[in-house]
Amino acid sequence: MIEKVIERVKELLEGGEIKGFVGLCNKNGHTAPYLFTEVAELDHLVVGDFQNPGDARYPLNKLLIDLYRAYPEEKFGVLVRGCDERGLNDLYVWNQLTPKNVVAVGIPCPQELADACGCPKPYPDNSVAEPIAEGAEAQDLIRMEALGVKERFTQWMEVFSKCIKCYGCRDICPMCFCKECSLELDELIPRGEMPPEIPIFHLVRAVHMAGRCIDCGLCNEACPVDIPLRTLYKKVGDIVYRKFNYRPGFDKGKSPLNVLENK
Amino acid sequence: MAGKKKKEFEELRIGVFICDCGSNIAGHLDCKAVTEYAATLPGVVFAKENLYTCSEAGILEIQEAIKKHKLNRVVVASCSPRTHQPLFQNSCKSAGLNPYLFEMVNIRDQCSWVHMQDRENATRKAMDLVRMAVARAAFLEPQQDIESPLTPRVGVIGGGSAGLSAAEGLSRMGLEVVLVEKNKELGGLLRNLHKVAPEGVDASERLEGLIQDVSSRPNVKIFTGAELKSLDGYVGNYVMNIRDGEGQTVKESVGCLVIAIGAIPLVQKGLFGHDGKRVITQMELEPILKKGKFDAKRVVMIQCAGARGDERSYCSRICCMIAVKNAMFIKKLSPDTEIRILYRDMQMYGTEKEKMLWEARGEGIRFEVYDPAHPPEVGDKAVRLRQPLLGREIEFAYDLVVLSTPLVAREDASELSQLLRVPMDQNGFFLEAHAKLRPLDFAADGIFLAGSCRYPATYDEARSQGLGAAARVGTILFKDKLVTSAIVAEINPETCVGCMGCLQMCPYGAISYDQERKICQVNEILCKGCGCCAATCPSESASLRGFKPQQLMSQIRAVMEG
Amino acid sequence: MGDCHYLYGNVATEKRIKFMKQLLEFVGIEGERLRRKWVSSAEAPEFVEEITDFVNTLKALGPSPLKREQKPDQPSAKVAVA
Repeated sequence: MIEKVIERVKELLEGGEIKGFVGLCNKNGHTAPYLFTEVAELDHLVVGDFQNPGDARYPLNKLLIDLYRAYPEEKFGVLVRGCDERGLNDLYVWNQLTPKNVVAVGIPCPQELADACGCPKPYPDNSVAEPIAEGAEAQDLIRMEALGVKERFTQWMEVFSKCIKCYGCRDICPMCFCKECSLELDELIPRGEMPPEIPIFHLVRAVHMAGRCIDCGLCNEACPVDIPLRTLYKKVGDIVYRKFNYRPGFDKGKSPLNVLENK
Repeated sequence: MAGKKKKEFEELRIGVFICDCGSNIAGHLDCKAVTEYAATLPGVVFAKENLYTCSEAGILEIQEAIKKHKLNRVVVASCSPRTHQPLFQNSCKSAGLNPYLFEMVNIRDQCSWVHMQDRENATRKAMDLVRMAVARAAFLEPQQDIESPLTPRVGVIGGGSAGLSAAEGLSRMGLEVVLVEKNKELGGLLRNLHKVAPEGVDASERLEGLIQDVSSRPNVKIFTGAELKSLDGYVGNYVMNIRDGEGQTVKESVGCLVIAIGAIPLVQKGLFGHDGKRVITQMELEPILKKGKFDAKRVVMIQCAGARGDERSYCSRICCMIAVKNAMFIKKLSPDTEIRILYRDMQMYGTEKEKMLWEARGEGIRFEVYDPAHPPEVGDKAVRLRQPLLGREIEFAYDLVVLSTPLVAREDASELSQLLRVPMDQNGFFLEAHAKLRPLDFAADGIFLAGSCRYPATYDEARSQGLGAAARVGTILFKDKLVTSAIVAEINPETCVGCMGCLQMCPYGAISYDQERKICQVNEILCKGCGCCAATCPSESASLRGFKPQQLMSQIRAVMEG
Repeated sequence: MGDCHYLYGNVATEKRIKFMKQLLEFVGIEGERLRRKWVSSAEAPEFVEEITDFVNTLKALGPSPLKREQKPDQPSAKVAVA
């Protein structure tokens, strides 16, 4: 897989189509996001599947937003999985990136990862290889929905109360592109309260994810106290899909929650 | 929160005034207790009970207290802000306090009136409301009214009776008028009419006089065969893009608009056997009467033809009067013609039209009621009618059948409605801002309506509506500048990331995207302060002045404390 | 719908309420605790009926699971209720 990615990026860099490529770089035993601008550097390019598939993932799109803000005229390539590509689509909708400034180089995810994520589409459309896995059901969501309302309350409050308000979920989220965050607004979320007022803190973020979350699960991985955030946001996506027939990253145009119909 | 101004050093000095409203409030709750309670609230330095806060004495008390106690916030607990907020705000202003630092609570409607039987709870609720208002007042910020210039010109769309009357009125008031008529000639429906009821004046005489007057005025610019293609701007500063008679696009700046595009009389082939010859509509009858020659000896008129049914459920309102008017002229031209008017119920509103009906009966015009479940049937020679009272069928032989069909909305009305962003009702007529309080206004500022595009209107009504709309325009354009409330949305350019999440949420199209700066911005004149953008913005960059998170949350937290 | 003072503002409300009800339900707060009803200023009896019905619904559901004891350091202590 990595050979194909390197081959494609080399082609893009040599052809001068892109100014640089946002991918993962493995140097001195560390993996980190990196902007590749020279073909010679591509030896260090990795996709991040080391011991397990998807064990080193980063919100590369988020770096792309910063690059776009700094160099609005330049075009950059970016490494994407299925979820990242949905993220790109949604970032176009939210006017944070434009397709003419981005070349996606996609890789499909293996079934093991797709199942672990409960990913609806574990492969991008722009890909260096054919899909190798099918969409998977969100088992965690199904399990949670099967519980009674009282039990759900107990479980959520238990996990929410572990929150240390580190903002890791927000900081890693590729769809959190705001400069100022509601969750840091003193009037809404008073400073110095620990844990932050529950479940308000988490519900505020959940509401902000409605019509935006592209279900990449990075928040879940980033959370140091293991709050099953992905399950919460999967539900958010599920409600928006069932009530308004809209799926961020799949559907064109704004979320119905951001459009006021003249009926 | 970097860059946020906080007035932490200003000492809060809130004054609270509790109004007895005579016994209107004090009769049903304990105003003295509410006043004593208010004095204990954080930030309150002065609390006073007034017999009538809105009286001269009450106002004076507020103004003196502002000076004497150096109040920097004023809360009045009394009646409806709708009626009294401007008075209190102005009183604060003349005492040197920014009017936006005033807060009002309605303890009359919400406490004394609705809880008349429960003095104790009404008093407690009044305390709750006062506590909330004081909490909010603490976070109020001074604001400046928004001022913008006005273009003293008016666009009138439609050159029929209503549009011409509006143009005449506006021109007489000294305002420049741009009149846009779609047809080659001015006049609208009046051009086809014979006589105007109830006085019986010649329609052409009325019309020619009006057209003459309007077209000879130097401050009226007339476009015929022309159309409004788009409208930019906002109240006081609209730009009309007109396609003129030659197909050229012309730009005209206007401060306000009057919409008077009229309506169309329904002509439907086959409706009650309509053929345009022996079965015609009232509108087709008018030119025959105008010629002054009438041969038919037996005439049957059918009311509500094509109206008040499944397809068109509304009453066209003026057709009863038209039928009676035309029947009476037929009688004048040809006294021995037999006329029967088949009706469901005669809508001859107003004393003059009621009088017409009595006179028509006196002249021998016959009125026969029919049941909509059994409408009259028009045969080759006779109209068959089932009389609901007697339950028997009778036939009236005829030479001419005249159908009283409704006025229907113009097809291009919906296009105009989108272009102007103004609403229509289910029948395609334009919808005024309020049927009783603002009958000639659209909800959109600076756009007014008159005549049959609003609802079927007689000539007299169209004319008085046209003149009325002109007067409404005057209330805006005869001021030096447009002053609007500062309570509108604002978008912080420092924090906006230009995601445009708010853009399509604005019902007034007040938000636009600045390509250069890559941020969204609010047009303060178009904004009505609904807060949709503020509620949608993911980063609190959009906020509504006077209703910022802190101002709202303080109220919510205050009510929970009770 | 569409009768809103702010034109289509209630369309936005309707969508949010639909969404919030489901989200609350998912985190274990009964959706019936959130209710939306269009009542015009001319419909006092409808308003009273709705509120009465809502109060009854809430009473039947029992106290909110989120209700907690007031912490002594909360600002409510400052306010002396007359």
